[in-house]
Amino acid sequence: MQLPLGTEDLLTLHRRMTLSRQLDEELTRLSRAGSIRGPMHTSTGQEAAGIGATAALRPGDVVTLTHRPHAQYVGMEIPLGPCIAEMAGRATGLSGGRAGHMIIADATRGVLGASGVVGHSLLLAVGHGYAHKLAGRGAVTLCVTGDGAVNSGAFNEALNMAALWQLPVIFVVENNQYGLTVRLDRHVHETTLAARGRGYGIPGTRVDGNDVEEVHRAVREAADRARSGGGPALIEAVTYRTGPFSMSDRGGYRIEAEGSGFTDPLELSAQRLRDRGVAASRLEEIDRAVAGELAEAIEFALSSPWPDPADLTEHIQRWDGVPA
Amino acid sequence: MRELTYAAALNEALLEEMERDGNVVVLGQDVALYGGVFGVTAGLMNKFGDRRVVDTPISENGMVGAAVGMAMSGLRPIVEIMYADFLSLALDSLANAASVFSFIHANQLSVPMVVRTQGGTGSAAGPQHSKSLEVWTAHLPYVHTVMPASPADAKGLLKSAIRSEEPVVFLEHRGLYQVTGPVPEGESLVPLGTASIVRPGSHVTVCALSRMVGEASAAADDLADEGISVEVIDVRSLRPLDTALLAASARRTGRVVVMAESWLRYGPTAEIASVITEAAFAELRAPVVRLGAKGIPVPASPALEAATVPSRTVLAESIRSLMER
Repeated sequence: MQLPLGTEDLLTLHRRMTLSRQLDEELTRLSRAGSIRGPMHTSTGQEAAGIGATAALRPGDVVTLTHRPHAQYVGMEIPLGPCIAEMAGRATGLSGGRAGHMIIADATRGVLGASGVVGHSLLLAVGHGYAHKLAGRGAVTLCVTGDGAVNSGAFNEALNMAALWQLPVIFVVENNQYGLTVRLDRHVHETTLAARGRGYGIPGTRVDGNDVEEVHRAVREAADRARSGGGPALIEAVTYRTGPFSMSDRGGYRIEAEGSGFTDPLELSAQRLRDRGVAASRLEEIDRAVAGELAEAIEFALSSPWPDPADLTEHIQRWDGVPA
Repeated sequence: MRELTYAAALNEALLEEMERDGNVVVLGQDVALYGGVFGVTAGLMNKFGDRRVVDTPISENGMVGAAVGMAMSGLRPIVEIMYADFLSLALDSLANAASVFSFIHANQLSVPMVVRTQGGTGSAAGPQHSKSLEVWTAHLPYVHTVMPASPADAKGLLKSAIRSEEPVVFLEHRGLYQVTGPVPEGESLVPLGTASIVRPGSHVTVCALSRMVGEASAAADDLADEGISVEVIDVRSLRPLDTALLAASARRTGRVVVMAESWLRYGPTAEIASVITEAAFAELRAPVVRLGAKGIPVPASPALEAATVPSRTVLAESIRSLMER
């Protein structure tokens, strides 16, 4: 998408954020109903960061993701049915039911490195970036990580290497104010995370992570610079996780009303679209269309067969000689 | 056939594979300008440049994690971790990324990467630089653990490792780098997952790992004078394990000793002994004997270090007792 964003572009981003929000609402429902098992980390409130950032990519680019990857999945346009089927552990899932919701990959779309382990997205991005630099085709890696990850050793290792080798990697820290239940100011002293870029000699930028246009602009500029050999960038997208950290969240760790200072990213984009003369009915139509698309994908996922364990024993036999 | 050192054989494998495939890159601490602290990567940077032979910061998890990304993006990275002891820093990337991604995404992408490292006793390097940690990586599904004992295998196995579509941990032995042996000219690949009979025999089978293969061969020489015929098997690939070759030998001899430099308890010798027992129980004349390191950190003093790991003498005594069963 070109900058500045035209109305149709903003509509596309609004539609993706709507899909991400509704997807998370449905996943919450399906998890509670037991139709999807295992951990579930939704991105409610953080849609603008994931959608705005991924929209700055082009074919051939790569994104590495965190354990809270749904907005990036939507932004990278992973096919919705196989995506939900993977989360539900079905044979039609993108990894045949081996991955679950956290670590879905789609090599054809450049989704190469979601991970349930905090810090992996940073290290994988260094590797992708190195490969892209050697290939010399101007591809970039978008590395999405969280505020909890900035205190991992991997953060230091990755930013140092990316800066040292001037790799085309854009590190986006989705600062959602919490590392699991521990609030930002209780896990770092310097709460402006973009300030850390300076220590590595790379530009650090802080943006409103709930403003999809602002996130997109910052990532787009960083990507343009990286493509032309300008090296990595660190972008802190300040946002707020309004939902639970996972379905097992017992609560009791937040200050009441602390999220009131944050704008809902969907309300913000809807208001901007109305200000630009987009009819309310068009936005309602987006809501309805997304709901229909989602219902179809869920129906596909939940009516899909379970994977056959025989596919696994073939693998075991080759390695360990265990009879099927 | 020309004689090469184990280190030179490894160097030749790296050179040939980097010439053959432009996607092969080497990274690690001191591997480029300096040529590796054990000299294994010597000359590579001059030949292939500092974009394919890369000196890294001291960031073990970073190096291995980055290699996973590189492999997913089409490169074939070879990471050198200076000492096997420092694998602890990179186990996250091996266990939670390399092993997992190649399993779950096998239908759409592979993770062709090699982690080279070295370990073992004999250089008085102390408790943080002498460990044999093959059990750590052999415990990871979908990750090969390879342990060459001879220069020819060092070269042939490393070439196969670099060409493998799956992650390979390649455990060299520091005490072997200067050992010489015949290495075939030209293309000579040794397939992963295969053991080899380095010395045929009929009374006892010794399944040995890495430097212990040499100890076993020396003990076999000693025992031949006493009329005991020892078959020495170089296990070579710990995972996948060549169960068929090991079991067939056990059935022929009926007596088995498994010998490694790693800690005895909960180590690879237990797995091998168990596999052989399951496959050849009826033909065994006695329980499989295991030899490994005493359950203590490796002491630095040369006078103490040698006492912690098995030797040709300990093995010969074990075999003599076993012959009475």
